[in-house]
Amino acid sequence: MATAPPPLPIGLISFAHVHAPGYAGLLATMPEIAFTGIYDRDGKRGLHEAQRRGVPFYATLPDLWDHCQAVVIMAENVLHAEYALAAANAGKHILCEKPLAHLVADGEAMVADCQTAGVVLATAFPCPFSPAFEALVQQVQAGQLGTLLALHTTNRGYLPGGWFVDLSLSGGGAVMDHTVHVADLLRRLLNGPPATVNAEIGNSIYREQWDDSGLLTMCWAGGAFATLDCSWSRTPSFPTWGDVTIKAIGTAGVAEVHMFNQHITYYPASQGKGAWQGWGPNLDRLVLLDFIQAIRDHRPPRSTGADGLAALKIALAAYTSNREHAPVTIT
Amino acid sequence: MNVAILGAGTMGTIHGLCLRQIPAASVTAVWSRNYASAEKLARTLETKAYDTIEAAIGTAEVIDICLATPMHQAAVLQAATMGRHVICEKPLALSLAAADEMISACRKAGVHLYPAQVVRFWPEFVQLRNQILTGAIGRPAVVRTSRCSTYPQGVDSWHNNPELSGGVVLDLMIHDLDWLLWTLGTVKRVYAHSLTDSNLPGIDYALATLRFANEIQATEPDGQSGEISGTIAQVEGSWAEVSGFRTHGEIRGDQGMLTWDSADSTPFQMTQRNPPRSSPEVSVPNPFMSTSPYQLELEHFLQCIGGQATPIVTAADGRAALQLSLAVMESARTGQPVTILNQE
Repeated sequence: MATAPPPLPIGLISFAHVHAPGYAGLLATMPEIAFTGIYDRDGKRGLHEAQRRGVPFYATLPDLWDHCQAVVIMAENVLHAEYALAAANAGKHILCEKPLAHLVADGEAMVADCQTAGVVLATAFPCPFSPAFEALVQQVQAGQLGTLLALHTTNRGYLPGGWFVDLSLSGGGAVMDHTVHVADLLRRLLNGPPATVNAEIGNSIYREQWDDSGLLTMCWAGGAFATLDCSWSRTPSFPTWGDVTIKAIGTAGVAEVHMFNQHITYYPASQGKGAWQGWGPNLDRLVLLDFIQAIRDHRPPRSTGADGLAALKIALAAYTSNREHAPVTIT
Repeated sequence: MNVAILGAGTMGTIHGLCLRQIPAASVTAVWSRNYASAEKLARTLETKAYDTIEAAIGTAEVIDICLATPMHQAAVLQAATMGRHVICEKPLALSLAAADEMISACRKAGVHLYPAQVVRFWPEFVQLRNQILTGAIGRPAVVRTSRCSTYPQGVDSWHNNPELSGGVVLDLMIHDLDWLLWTLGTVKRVYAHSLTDSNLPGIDYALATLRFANEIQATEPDGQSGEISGTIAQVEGSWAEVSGFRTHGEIRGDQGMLTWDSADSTPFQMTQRNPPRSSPEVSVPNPFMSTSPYQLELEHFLQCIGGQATPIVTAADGRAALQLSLAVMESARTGQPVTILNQE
């Protein structure tokens, strides 16, 4: 019987992202992982998180490099490239929160440097691991839907606030935040990126400088088309944070994915309204398991840096289209 | 008020049954291209079938046109020539030129012309609009609407030919487009894709994105001023479903959100272990109201004709819904956004 490989030492860079606490919890508890430390440019936040999780806080990245083979980057969007390039230079494998970067040039540099350094660069896209999405892919590949003709999708959410609405740190609002997940899923379903992207983007929910809403239409060379609502349109009173939904129209049928529709509903006696409590699979755990396995097996992760870059290009094309009032060709 | 029904298909039957519930209305004639169908409906409505359109029109003051879309224009012109008021199923026509001719003929003849855009009488859409107009959700920002059914099987399957029906956009999506115009005002830009020209048997489907012309320059309490974008909407029209009829959507404003879903708000459902082998020609949702929206609509039009009410939907509204639908179809055909100018 083969013995289990030793836990992989992984460090966490930054607690900026809303997904950081979830990943930190998994790093601390998954038997396949040794959670070896935290770096955060916000030293106070990093130290606090490190202390309450019982792991070392490192004040510099080189200190972190000394104690890990891989890192999970949960920083603000515009800092992904800086941290990823430093990690690659130090020979560390990288799991990077989405969007991969806020600029194509940054994303390209990340992909190229990781390739040169021989390290894994994975984009933290949990949705491809959803059993509901896997079922859709399986049915499509088995021909059960016939030819895919049209897809009607959403990735709506609460307003995340914080640095997400500071354009100097996020690089964009709702469209930057919520386009890439479904863009990535659609690339998988339709075996490649769309040929064109058209978008109408708005700021009229919150009436700020940043975009809070976006309606994208993507068109594939083969003729299939898809829309995506990536708006931060859930109200605080909405019973759940948001959704990922895909309605797929095929020549042979119609399929619908409502990815996070596995929940009980809690109705408190005192105040508020009913709220969903999800019981679906922990997709972030599956992201980490795949990342570890990719490192061990010297294979690409399910979502590579190139996948993250391809999704980013779609989000950036949406902004261009909205500015120019015309569909933008994806290159 | 005497009413002649032209067309004995799904809508002719629904209108006929509703008119029978209206004390002020009397159905005096049914005419159809297919005389046997006219006779069958006339028997149901306990009235007379006619074999010429002129004879049927001659019996009534109001002509209720429930014919296939390509026949609307000639029927409206005939009714106007004979000095009869007209209620005409949506879409008013297949082209703006035809609609303009119909509107102008009725104006010249001094007769009323009302497009039967029934969603303006559908209770949840009335309530949604009232909520928006009273400010419940503030200023609408992002809107989604979906109207999804199986492929229609009309008489002679005229729906199947986009040149006759306009496909899913002009026949089905137009309901939501009309409601959006009624509720949110003018649209300035449209981008759409559809399967209407794909010649897929039993499937038509369209997705349209609208930008409304209600952008504002706002000065916020903090003194910052900037442009607040116009409302954006994504509209789904589907004749691609395998079963059922469902409408759903949401409107997110700066002060809240409204959602609706016919699948979640139906007070009656039934499935049979051994269902009888019959299917309706065209799916029409049942609202389970004590008075059907079609009856409310017809009663309202008769009141308008009698000078007792101000119209909730006018011929100009019919033209605007047609214009927007045609813009959606043009964008789908060309792959380019269509800017809409000169809306009435």
